[in-house]
Amino acid sequence: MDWLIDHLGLVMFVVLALLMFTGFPVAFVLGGVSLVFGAIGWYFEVFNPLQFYNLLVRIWGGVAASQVLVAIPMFIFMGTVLERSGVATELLKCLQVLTRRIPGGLAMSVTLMGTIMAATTGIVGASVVMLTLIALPAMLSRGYQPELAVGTIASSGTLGILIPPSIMLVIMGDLMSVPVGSLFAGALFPGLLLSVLYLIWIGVISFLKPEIAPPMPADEGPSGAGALAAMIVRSFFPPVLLVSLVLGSIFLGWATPTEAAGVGCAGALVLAAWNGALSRKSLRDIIESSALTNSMVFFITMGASVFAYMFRALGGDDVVADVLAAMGIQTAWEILIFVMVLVFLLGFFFDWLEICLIVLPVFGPILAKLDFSGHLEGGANVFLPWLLVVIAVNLQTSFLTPPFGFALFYMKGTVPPSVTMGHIYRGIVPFVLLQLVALALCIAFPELVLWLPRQAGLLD
Amino acid sequence: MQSLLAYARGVEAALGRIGYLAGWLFIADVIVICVDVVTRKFGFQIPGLGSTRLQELEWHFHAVLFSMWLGLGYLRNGHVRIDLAVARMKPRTRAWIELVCLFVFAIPYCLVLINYGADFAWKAWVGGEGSESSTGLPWRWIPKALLEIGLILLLAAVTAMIARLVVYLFGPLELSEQARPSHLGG
Amino acid sequence: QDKTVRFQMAAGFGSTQPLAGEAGLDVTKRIERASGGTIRIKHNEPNALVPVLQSFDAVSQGSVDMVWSTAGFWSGKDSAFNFFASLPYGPSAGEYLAWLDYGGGKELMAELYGKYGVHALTCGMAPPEGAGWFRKEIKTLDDLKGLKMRFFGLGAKAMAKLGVATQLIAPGEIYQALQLGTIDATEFSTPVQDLKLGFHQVAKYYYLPGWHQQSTALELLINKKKWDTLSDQQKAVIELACGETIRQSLAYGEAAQFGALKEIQAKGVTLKTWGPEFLAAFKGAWEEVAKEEAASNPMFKKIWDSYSAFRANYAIWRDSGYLKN
Ligand code: NA
Ligand code: NA
Repeated sequence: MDWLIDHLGLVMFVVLALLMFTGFPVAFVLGGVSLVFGAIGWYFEVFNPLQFYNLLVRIWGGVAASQVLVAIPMFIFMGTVLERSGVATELLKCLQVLTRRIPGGLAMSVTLMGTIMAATTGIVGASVVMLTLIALPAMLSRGYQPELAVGTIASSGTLGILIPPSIMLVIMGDLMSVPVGSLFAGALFPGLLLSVLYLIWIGVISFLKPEIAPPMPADEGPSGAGALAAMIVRSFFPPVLLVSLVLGSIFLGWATPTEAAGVGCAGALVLAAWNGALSRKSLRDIIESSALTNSMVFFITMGASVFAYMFRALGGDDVVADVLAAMGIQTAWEILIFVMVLVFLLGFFFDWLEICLIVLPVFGPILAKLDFSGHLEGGANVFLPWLLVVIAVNLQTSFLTPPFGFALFYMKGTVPPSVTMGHIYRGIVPFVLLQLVALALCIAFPELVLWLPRQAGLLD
Repeated sequence: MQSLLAYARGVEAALGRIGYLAGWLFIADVIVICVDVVTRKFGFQIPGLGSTRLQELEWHFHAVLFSMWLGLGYLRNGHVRIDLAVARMKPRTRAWIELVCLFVFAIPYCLVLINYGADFAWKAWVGGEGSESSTGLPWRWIPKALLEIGLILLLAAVTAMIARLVVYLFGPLELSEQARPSHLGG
Repeated sequence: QDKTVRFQMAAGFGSTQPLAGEAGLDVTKRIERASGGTIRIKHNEPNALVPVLQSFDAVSQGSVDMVWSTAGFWSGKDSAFNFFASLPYGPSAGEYLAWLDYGGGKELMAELYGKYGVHALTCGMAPPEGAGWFRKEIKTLDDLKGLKMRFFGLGAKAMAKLGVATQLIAPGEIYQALQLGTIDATEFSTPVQDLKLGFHQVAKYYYLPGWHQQSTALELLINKKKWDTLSDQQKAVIELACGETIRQSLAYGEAAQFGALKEIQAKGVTLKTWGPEFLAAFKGAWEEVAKEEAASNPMFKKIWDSYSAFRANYAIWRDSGYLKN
C-alpha cells in the first residue's frame, strides 16, 4: 500500500495507458485520469486539493495566453484553405507528374515540403496538421499504403523542432543557459540529415515494394511539353509563391514565424479567391472545419498539460531521480546513455516540454559537469550545445512514439476515418528507427552538430 | 425520452451557432496579424492600438476561438479517440463505455475547471486586471470570462451527449436510432 | 523542535541563469540549512508547476506555497507592483533598501501584497540592467522614432512616448526576430545574464546605462496562510536567509558585470552609453508616464508619494555625501 502511495504518479501512467484504449476522447481521459488520481492522492493525504486550481492556471497561461501557439490555428486554417480550394490537390498532382519516374516520388515530395515548412515554424503541431490536410488525401487517393503515407507526413512534419526556428530549442537553451544561436546552428544539419534519411528510406522501400507507393500511370497527366509547362505554371507557381511569401516575410525580417503563418493565411485566401473557390458557403466550411481541427489540438494540449502537472504533483519527477541513484551509474558515457534512454522512454508518454522539465533540472547540473573532452574538442561551451541538440534529436521521437505522440494524435484528428490508429502506429515505426539512427550518428560524430556553429563562430 | 433528445439537439444547435460565429475569429486574427506586420514594417503605429496590443489581440482572439469550440468539437466527434481496441465492439457496448467515461472522467474534469475558472475570471474583473505589459491591452477579464464560458459549453456538450446516449440505450426503438451518436458509426 | 514543513516553490527564473536564477536556488538551500531541515523547499523550474506570469495567482490561492520572482511580473494585476521591483530612474540599491526598510516601503509592500493573501519578502537585489541590444547605432532622438523594440515594464510606456514601437515578441522568438531585423532592439537584463542569452551573436550595439531599471529587487512570495503556520523561529530563518541573499546577490551582481562586459566587447559588440540628451528625454517621458499612472491608479499614487518624498529627502545626502568620482 505504501509503495502504491509513493508511486501514484507511475500508477497513473499505467492507468492512463490502459484507459486511452477505451475509445473515449484522449483529451478527456488525460484530464479525467488526472483528476481521479488527484482525488486518490487527496484521500491518502499526499495531494492538497487546492492544487487543482493549478490545472486551470496552466490551461490559461500555457495554452490560452500563449502568443506562439497562435501559429497552430493559422497553419490549420492555411492548410484547410489550400485543401478546400483545390490549390493543394493541383500542387500534389503536379508533383506526381514531375516525380513519376522516382520510386515513392510523391512521398519524397511531401518530405521535402515538410522540410521547407520546418523552416517556417517552430511549432510541431502546426506543420503536422497542415501537411496532413494537404497531402494525405492525395497520397491515399493515389493508392499509397496508409502506413507509408502517415509515416512520411508525421516524420517530416516534426522536423520543425530541429530545423530552426524551434520553440523547443529556445526553451532548452533557456533551461540550460545556452545561447539559442548555437543551438539553432547545431540542429540544422541533424534536421537535414533526418530529412535525407527519410528520403532514402522512402526511395528504397518504394523501389522494393512498388505496390505501397504506386507511381502515376504513364497515360495519366498532361501529354507533351507544352501541357506540362502549362500545368506547372498553373498549379506549381501559386503555392511556391505562397511559400515564398511565408519564408520571405520571416527572412526579410517583416514577421516573426507566428505572424508569417498569419500572412500565409491571407495569401492562401487570395489564392483561393483567385481560383474562384471562395464562396460564402465554402468559406463557412473552411472556418468550421479549421475550428474543429483546432479544437482537437488544443483540447489535447489542455489534457496533456493537466496530466503532466498531476504526474509532477504526485512525485513522478522524484521517481525519475531515484532511478538514477538506484542504478549507480557514474561515468560520463553511462550517464549520457541513461539520459538518452530515459528521454526516449518518457517520450512514449509526455510531450517535449514536460520531458525537458523532468529531465533537465534533475540531470542538467550533472550533465553540465561531465567530461567528454576525449570525444569532442572544446570545453563546456561546446559540450552543452552538442548535448542539447542530441537531446533534441531524441525528443523528436516523442512526437511519434505510441501510445502518446502528439503528431499521431494530430494526424488521427485530421485524417479520414479510413485511416486507423493502427495504421498510424505501424506507419511511424520505421521513421522512429531512422531517428534513432540519426541520434546514434550525432552522438558518434559530434561534428555533425558542431561543425556549423563552429564555422559561424557561435561556440567561442 | 423525446425531451431528452430534444435537449441534446437544442444544445447541439446552440453550440453550432456559437461555434460558427466564433469561427470568424480566424479571419479576424489573420487581419490583425497582417495589420501588425504592415504597420510595423512601415514604422506606423495605430494610435491606441500599437504593436504590443495587436500582438496580444492575436492570442486573445485565438483563446476565445478554441474555447468556444471545445464542446462543439466533442459533439462533432472532432476529438481524437484511440479506437483500436473497441472498434469491433458492438455499438451498444461502446455507448455504455462512453456513458461511464463521461460520468467518471468528463464531468469531474469540467466541474473542477469551471469551478476555478469562475473564480479566475471574477478576480480579473474585480482586480481590474490588464496586460502584464504596460503598453498592452486592459480588461483581461474578457478573455478569461470567455474561457469560462467555453468550459461551461463543454459541460453542456457533455450533458447533451449523455442525453443522447441515454435515449440510444434505453429509449424506444425509433428514437434510439435517431439518437445514435456519430462516433458509434453508421 | 519545529514540525517539518514542505513547500513547493515556483521559480520565475531558471536555476542556471546567473544572478536572478541562481539566487532563487541558493535561497532555498539556505533556508533548509538554517532551519536544520525543518523547512524543505522544492525548487521548481519556471513553468514546471504553473506558467511564470500566472504564479502570482497560484501563490495567492495557495496552490503553490512559494514563488521566486520579481514584482514586475505582476504589473497586470496592479501597476503599483513595479515599486517593489524597479522603476525607471529608480534608486541604486542602497537608496532602494533605505526606502524599503526605513522610508515606509516595506509597509506599503505588505499592504499591496496583503490584498492578495501573499506574504512578500524582498529577497535579492540586482544591479543596473543594460538598456538593451540594438542592431543599429542610435545617434539622435529621431532614430528612436519607429524603432521596433521589445520592451517590458513601465519603461516601455516611456519609450512609446518617444516614438518607439514597443513589441511583445514571445520570448521564444526574440532571438530570431532580432537576428532577422523583425525587431531592431530588445531590452533584457544585466550584462552577465544577457551574455548567456547570446544576443551578442545578432546585435552589435549594447547600450548602457539601463535607465529603466537601475536596480531590481527580487522577491520571495509565500502564501499568507502558509506563512502563518510557521513558528517564530522558522519565520526568522526565512527572513535571515533573504537578508543574506540580498547581500550575496548584490555582491555577486557587482562582481560579475565587468567580466561580462569585457567578454561582450571581446565578442565584437560595441558598448555605448546614452548621451545626456537621451537621458533627459527618457527622464522627461518617464515623468509623464508616472504622472499618468498616479492619476489613474490610487495605489500607485499612494506609493509614489512615499517613494518620491523619500527620494527628495535623500537627495541632499546623495549629492553631498558621496563623491562624484
Ligand atoms: Na522549425
Ligand atoms: Na510519444
